[in-house]
Amino acid sequence: MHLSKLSLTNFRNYQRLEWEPDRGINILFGDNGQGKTNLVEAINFLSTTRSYRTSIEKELINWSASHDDISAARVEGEVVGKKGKLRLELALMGRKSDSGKTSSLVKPEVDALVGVVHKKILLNGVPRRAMDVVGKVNTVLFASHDIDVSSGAPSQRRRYLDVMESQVNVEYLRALAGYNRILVQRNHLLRQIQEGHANSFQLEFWNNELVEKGSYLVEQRMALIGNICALAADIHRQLTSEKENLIVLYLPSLKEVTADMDRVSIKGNFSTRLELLQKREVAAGMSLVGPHRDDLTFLVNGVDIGIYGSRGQQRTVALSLKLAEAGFLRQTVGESPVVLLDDILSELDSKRRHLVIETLRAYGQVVTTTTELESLEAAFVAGAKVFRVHEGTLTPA
Amino acid sequence: MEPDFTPAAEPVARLIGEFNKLPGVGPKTAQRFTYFLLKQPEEEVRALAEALLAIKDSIITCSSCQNLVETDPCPFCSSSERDSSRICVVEEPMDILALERSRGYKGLYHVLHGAISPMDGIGPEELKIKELIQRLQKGEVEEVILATNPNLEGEATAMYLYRLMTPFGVRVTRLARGLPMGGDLEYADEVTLMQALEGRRQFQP
Repeated sequence: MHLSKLSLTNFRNYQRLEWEPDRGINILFGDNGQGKTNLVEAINFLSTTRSYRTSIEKELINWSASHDDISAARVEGEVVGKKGKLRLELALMGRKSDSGKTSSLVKPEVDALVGVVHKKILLNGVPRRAMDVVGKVNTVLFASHDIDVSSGAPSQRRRYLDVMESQVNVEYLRALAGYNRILVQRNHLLRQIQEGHANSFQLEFWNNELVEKGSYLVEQRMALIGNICALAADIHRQLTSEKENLIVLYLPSLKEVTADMDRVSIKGNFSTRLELLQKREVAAGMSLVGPHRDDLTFLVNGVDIGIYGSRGQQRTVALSLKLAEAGFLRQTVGESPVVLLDDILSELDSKRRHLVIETLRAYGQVVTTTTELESLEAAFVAGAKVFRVHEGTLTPA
Repeated sequence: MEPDFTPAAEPVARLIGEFNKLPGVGPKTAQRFTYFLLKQPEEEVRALAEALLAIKDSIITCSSCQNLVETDPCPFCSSSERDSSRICVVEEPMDILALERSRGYKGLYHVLHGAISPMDGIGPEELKIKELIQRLQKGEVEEVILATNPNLEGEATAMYLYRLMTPFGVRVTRLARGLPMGGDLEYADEVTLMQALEGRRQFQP
């Protein structure tokens, strides 16, 4: 699939933008702080309905354009895929909280709307929930923080799995949201039991719910990792001229769970662990076992790359994982995702950059940013559409 | 430092503020309500004010079913036409109105005034569960229908009550889950459809 049109209104530093990206490779170049990453963020926002850079959505709204203290940001995209054309529109409405004046007659402290961002999602003009539009536009985003995936926090590796699976499996997204909600309730209950305000037999219900949703997540993650492991291993061999053998290994928080287990066995295992751990969980006041504590490890020639790998090796592993993600989406959805590279190519040495570019050619649409056009190969630049980004405007170069 | 100034007169701003606290009423609606009332004749406004005070002065909690009513025991609990062997447990008084509209139920009710939600600090002690158990201890009740909402908190409450009531030997039932009448299969979400399939019944022409 490819993004055929993108229009932005008051999004970050763009007051107004109408852009028709090329179906092939798009290079956005310009100095720092001109809005290259904002554009990548906007495309990813259409895909996930969330920003990967901030959880405070008010930051996405451009306030300079509004005279009032109320403003709205809009991102609208037209996507052409094998199922035809679809139009996706995300609007954020918010109110500046630090403004002295207020449009309402009421004192600001009474005004319940201050700072609240209201999000509206329209698919082909019809209002939808976020859950219904995630995955309508498939993207693979590779930003500089993704380079730390093997050495960074476990949450980053879980996010890698969750973002990928949620794009192709709505049931997974729903189970994940449900699981997180159960987790919050259960942690509160554990704390209340610890303080003597609740009885431990109330745990039964939350345990059952946690096991039900959690086992599904574990089962899906095992299948996903199996797929990714095979794809990433192939790509990694290519990137390292057959020198390195990459294995993606699942480290489930439920340690006894193995790949040959079905959901019923996972559930049994989860329930048993909860029973054994009950005292410790009450003492800790939080849930100590379950998919929220899962992790991944990456072995290169048998060695844990997150601990023993060089910076360069970790970077190549991150690259293999991202290309595997693109491969997985293409395999599962049946068409290429939009690949977004934010300032990544310049981080690679020329040999790997060449390999990445060769691999990307096999995909459909690519949007990549760079500060220096000269750092990219002439042949690559010649085969791409180049756009110059300057102070929130885009001009073909 | 901005001077402490509001464009509206103090009593007006105060009423706007009060309306704004109501569920579903934003600042704009609160303003509209306030300026509408300013234009109304005095007796209309007085009638509203009296109606407001009356709900607090005359409404009490039924000592049996915990519903918010005018008399204790309430009309349901004191009626000889209601089946006192059945109790339908609901989260809020509003749920009784909904169930009564169905005209399909002739038993008694019990209002919990909430559902179990640890993150909001609502546990069984905060709900009217003791009062329900007291009613069961009298031994007249044969069936308890759990009509808490079909969400996580409602299910948690239902499960808790089920465990608590088992020793009393009463029949505990749960409202069925499934498709709404007049709906299309096409528009039903997966979870609802799955539960409708699981809860299917013998066809009865």
